[in-house]
Amino acid sequence: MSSPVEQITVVSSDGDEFKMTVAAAMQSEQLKQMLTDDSISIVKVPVENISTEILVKVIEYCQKHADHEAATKANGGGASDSEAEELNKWDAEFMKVDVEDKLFHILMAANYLEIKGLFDLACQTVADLIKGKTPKQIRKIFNLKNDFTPEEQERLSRQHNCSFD
Amino acid sequence: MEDSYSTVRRWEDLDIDILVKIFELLDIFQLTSGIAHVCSTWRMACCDPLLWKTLDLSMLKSNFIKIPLEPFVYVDGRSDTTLTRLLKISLSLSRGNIMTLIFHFNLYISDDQLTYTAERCPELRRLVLPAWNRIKKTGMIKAIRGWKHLESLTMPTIANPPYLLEEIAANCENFSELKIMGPCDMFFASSIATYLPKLRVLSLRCSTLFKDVLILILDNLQHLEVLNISHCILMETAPPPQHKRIIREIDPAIHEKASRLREFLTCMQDSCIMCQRTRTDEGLVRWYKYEEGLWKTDEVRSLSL
Repeated sequence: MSSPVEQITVVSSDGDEFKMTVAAAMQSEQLKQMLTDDSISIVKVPVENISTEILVKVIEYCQKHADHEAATKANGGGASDSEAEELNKWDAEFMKVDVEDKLFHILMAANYLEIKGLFDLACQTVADLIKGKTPKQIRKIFNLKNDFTPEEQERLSRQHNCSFD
Repeated sequence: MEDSYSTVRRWEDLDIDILVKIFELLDIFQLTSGIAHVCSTWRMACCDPLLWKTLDLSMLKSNFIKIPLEPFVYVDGRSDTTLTRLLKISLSLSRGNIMTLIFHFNLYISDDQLTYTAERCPELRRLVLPAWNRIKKTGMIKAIRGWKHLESLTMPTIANPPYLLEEIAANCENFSELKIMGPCDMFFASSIATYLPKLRVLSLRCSTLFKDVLILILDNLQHLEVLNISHCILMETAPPPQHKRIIREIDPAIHEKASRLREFLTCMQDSCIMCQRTRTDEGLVRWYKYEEGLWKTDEVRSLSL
C-alpha cells in the first residue's frame, strides 16, 4: 500500500499545476474515488476541461468547505447557527461572478468533478437569476438565441397567453 | 468528434440534464412564467417528466366569499383566471406526466377546470382535492373515468359518496388509499365497505367518529392495513337526554379487532393540541384558523404532504 498522501496535484487545461490538500480534494466525488482506490497511485491529476482561472476558484471552494467540515468535527459535530450563516455568506460572495463566463464554467467544473455543494450552489445561483425575469431578459443574461420560428412563437403565445418578451 | 472544449462553450450548450436540475429549484409560478419561451432547449427542459411528477398547487387559494346558497362559495373571476392560466401552462408543459396533483383546501376548483385537468393527467396516481363545492357529480365521474391508475384520494366529506366510490371501483383497479378530511358517518363507511372492500389505507383523522362506524370499518375492510383515527372525537350513542357521549378510551374489543392492522394510529389525549382543536371545532377542523400547512400533515407517511 502506498504511503498516506497528504496533497495531490491537479493540472489545469492550460497546463498549470496546483496543489490541493486531500481534505479539499475529497470534496470532489471524482477525486475522492481516485484517492480511496489503493490501486491507483496518484501523482498528478489532469483536469482537461477546466481552465486555470476556474480551477483556482474550484480549489478555493473545496478548501473552504473542507476547513469548515474539519472545524465542525473538532467542535464535536454540529455547526453552530452563526458558523453555518458565515459559510452561507462566504458562498454568496464566492458566487458573485460574471454570469456569461465564470458562472457557466464553475457549474461545468462542479458537475465534471462531482462537487455536490458547489454544483448545488451554482444551480441555485442560476435559478435565482431566472426568477422574476421575462424571456427577453433571460436571453440577455445568458446570451441565448430565440430559436423559435415565428409560427412556433405565435402558437406558444396563444397557448399560454403570455408574450415572448 | 471535435473536443467540445476547444470551441468556446456557453450557456446555449448547457447540458439539458443540468438545466432540468436548475428548473427543479423553481416553484410552479416561476416555471410557468415564460421559461419555456426562452428558446427551444429551455422549452424541452421545461417539459422534462422529472419536473412534472408532482404538480403542487397548494400555495394557491381562491379569492372567495362564503354565500348562504349552494355552492356556498363565490369565487372572484380574476382568481379563477389565474388558476386557469396556471393549469393551462402546467398541463401543457407536463405532457401527461403528472402523477400527483395537490390543491389547497381553499382552492375551489370549478367543474370545467377539473374536467380540463383530468383530461390532461391520464397517468394520475394521487389526487389531493379538499374542496369540492363547485364540482358536480357529472364532472367528478368524468374525471374518475379518465384516471385509470388512481391509487390515492384525499377528499372532503361528502353527503352522497356511493356514486363516487362506485365509479372508483369500476375504473381504478389499483385504488388503495383514502383520506377523508371530515366526519365519516355510517353511510360513508358502509359505502366504502360496499364499493372499496380492498382498501388498504384509510385516514379519518381530526373529525367526529362514532364507535359503531369504527367497528363497521374494522369488521368489513378485511384488506385494511393502516387506519388513522388520530385526534378524532370518538363518540357513541347514548340514551336521552344525552343521545350521544364522548368516549375517552378505546375499549379492548376494538383494539382486538384492530390488532390485525399493520398500523392503528390513534391519539385521544386532552393535552394534545390537535385533539383540542378538533374538539373546539366540533369535529370538523377549520384549517384556515391554524398554521399554514397544518392540514397537510398526516400520521400516515404516504398521506403526509
